[in-house]
Amino acid sequence: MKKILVVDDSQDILTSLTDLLEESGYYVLTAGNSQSALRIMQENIPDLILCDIVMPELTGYDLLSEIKKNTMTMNIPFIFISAQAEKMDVKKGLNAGADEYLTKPFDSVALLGLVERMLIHKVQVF
Amino acid sequence: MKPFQKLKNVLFSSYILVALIPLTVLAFISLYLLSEYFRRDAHVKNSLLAELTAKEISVFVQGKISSLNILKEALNSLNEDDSRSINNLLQTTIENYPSFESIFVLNRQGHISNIAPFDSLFIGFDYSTSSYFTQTFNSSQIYSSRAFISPRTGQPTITVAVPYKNGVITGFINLSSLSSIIARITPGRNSYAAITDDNGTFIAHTDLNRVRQRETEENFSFMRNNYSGNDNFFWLNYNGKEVLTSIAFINKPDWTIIIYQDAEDALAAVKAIRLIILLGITLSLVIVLYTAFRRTNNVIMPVTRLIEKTKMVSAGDYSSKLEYAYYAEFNQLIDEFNLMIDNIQQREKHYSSLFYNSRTKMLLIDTSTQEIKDINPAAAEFFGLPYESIINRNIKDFDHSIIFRQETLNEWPAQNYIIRLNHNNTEKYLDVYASPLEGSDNNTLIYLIIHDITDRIIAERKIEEYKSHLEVLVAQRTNELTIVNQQLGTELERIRQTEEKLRDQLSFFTTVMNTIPVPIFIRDMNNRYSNCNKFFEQYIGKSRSQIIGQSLFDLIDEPYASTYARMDEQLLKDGNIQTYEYKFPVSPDKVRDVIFNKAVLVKADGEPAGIIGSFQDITEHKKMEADIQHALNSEKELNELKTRFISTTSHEFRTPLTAILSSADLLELYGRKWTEEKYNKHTSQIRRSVKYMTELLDDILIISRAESGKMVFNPATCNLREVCREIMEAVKVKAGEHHHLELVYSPEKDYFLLDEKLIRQILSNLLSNAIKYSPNGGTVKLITSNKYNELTIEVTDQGIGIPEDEQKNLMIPFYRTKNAAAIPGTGLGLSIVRKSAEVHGGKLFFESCLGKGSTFTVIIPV
Repeated sequence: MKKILVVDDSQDILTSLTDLLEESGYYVLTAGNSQSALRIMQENIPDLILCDIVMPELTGYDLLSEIKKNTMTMNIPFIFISAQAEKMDVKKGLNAGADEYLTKPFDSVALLGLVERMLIHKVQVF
Repeated sequence: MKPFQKLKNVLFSSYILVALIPLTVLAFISLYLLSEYFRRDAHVKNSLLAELTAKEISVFVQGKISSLNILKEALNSLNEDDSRSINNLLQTTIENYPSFESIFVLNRQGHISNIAPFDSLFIGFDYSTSSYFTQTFNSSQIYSSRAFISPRTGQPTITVAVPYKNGVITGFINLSSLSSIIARITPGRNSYAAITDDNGTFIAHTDLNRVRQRETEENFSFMRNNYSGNDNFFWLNYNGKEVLTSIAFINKPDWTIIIYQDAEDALAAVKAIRLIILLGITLSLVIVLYTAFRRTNNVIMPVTRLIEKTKMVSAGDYSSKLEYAYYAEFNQLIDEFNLMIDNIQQREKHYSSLFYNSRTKMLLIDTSTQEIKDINPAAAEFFGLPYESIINRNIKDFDHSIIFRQETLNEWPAQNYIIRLNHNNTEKYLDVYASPLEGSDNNTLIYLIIHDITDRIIAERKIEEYKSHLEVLVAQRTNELTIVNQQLGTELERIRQTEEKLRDQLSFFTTVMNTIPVPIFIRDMNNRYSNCNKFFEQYIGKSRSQIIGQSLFDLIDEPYASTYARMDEQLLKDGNIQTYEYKFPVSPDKVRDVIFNKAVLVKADGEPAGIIGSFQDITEHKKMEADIQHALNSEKELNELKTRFISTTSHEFRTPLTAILSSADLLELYGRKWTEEKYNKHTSQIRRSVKYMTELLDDILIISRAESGKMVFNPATCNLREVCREIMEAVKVKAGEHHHLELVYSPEKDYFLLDEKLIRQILSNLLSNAIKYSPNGGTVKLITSNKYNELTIEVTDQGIGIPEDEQKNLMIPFYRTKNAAAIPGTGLGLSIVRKSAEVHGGKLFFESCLGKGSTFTVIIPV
């Protein structure tokens, strides 16, 4: 069972994503902010990370740069899910090292397809 | 005869005459006084003395006699036999009258009965036979004897007797004191006084011995007998000498008193006075003569000196000046004379200098003797002889005697001739001018002026030679000139055309300058304005005459003038064209922004002549630019605000939308198989999100209205107390059980003119924030107060507080502090409160301490 870490400061979104991913047979880890996400990753290395960008204190970019610093986590597929929907924002997110950038509100089926694709893609790499 | 001898004599005698008149008067007075004295002296002195002496002597004798008479009276009253009393009386008398040698009484028998001083030897002495006794006793008359020498004292003595009833009283009077009396009154040296009795015997004399020797002077009795009684003095021959005598007589006793003096001595004083007067007159005469001489000389001398000096001057002696005379009246004449001498001397010097220093040969010839009288060095040099050997030499003795043409020497007036001679083997031409010397004695002197004109003659010859040559040359040159003239004419025409062109250009330039509607000026190298156009005049508000010639520093205020000058220097150094933006002071309080365009004016020789410049007033342009810039900035700011607002807003909307879409998707995908609980969870999530979005939308609308200045403000009377209470009640529902809500309403009135809708926004936002951000409960206070004209609404909580570094961002829309991240909110509440307060003309303040709570205060003027 693949583990997916979801990071978002909105409780509603966390709930929705958990329900969506769990229904598709993934093990979902949730974190309300970047700090708790980092804490979680010390014990459970997820197979994929879904992360919001605008969060209080440590932003999604901060979290990404922390993840890229760690050899254990640097290769985990990382998808930004953000309300910042401008083209510039997408470009910025991808340039920062994210594998994909999903704008809010997102289509649930599309998200699931992306997650699946990312996971296969990663396996093939290994 | 000396000069002015006659005038001198006249003057001298006048002076003497003037002086002699008072002198003569003086002499006459003196002589008169002298003669008078001489006469009166002998008369008065001698006669008076004699008179006085006679009187004195008679008093002397009378005194003795009267004393005897007194004695007689006393004896008459005495008893005949009272010898003692008689003695006493005698003694008293002799004591009172010491000139008595002795006094005695002869009794009827003619014997001395009593005597004083007492001497027994004389008592009883018999005078009965003596005639004086009988005569006296019987006649009862006073008797006086002739003088005799007292055998006892050896002194001249006389006897005086007075009869009385019983006899005769006799006294011997010592006459020696008489001699001393008369000695006292003698008039001086070699003078004598004497008394003789009727026999001529001396009874008193200055020389007492002559009395003692009983000398007799026969002459005196003669004198007495012949005495007329008029002349009290006379001359007589006495002892072979002429003496001056004065005489007086007394009777009873019949004495003669004589005073006499040697004529020589008597006249000595008179002689002395005469001598003094003589000396005085002589001295006066001498003084008169001397003064007259001096005065005459004082007049004559200057004149004489003037004549002498004039002679000296005419002889050529200017050595000394005429001195000032005694009388100042001459001084002007003397001054004029001296001045004249100076002038003559000066002129003499000039002429002699002219004569002796002249390079023209000059000489003087006496025609009568044919001798050279004077010659100047130039002429002497020509003759090759020293001056001394030329003077007084006959003109025929000279080598070049041809110079002195015989016929000219006697002719009148002047002659001028040219001679040719051989001088030192050279051909010489001399121009001789001979002329009689006017004013010379007998007109025998002529002077010659000789010019050596050899050079001139030679030059003239040469000129003659050149003349023909020149004529050829002139013809040649004239030809050349004609050609050149033609060329010049062409050139002049060209210059004229050029000038015309230049004038056209200048006119064109001036027209251009005055047509271009910008101020144009030209400054020379000394920073002075040399030209400008009328726009420049108009711009600086001065006429052309006030500008041209003025210095930059006179016309333009500092510091602008210095800057312009500095820029000019730079331009002159760099060349090209200079453009810069700077200020221009039109007046001290009006400085305009201008753009200068300057260039160097260059002269034909390439040297800079000055600066030409124009400028454009860009003050309005700049102002417009600034306004546009400002507007642009505002627009940009607004744009940025809008972009940020839109971006933020879209982000804020996307989050609840995501939740809605996710829940919708889930419900669609899995809803049918889900439990009711899980189904409801998502539907309520959708509802909650929609509600949140609605609230967010309301808030955004309020904010956007406020931002664009379109916030609706409808003030109306509202019951603030009621509003506060209602909001408090509404908020209470949201509050947890840990919260304690407190309302304090202190204003005296309830109704205020406020926009109730906005006040509700303020109160509900502040109170819900207070509850929201104090998750652990605590007291939330709403305090409303009204002081002066201000309404204060204060909301205090004991919540999480606001971090200090984030307080400054608190009023930015959508801004949320980090410590409030977990608490849901749009970040618009405080913005709405602030805008609402500002619409009322009020303000929002806050104080906060992290972890302890915050206080938000809204102050609105009412």
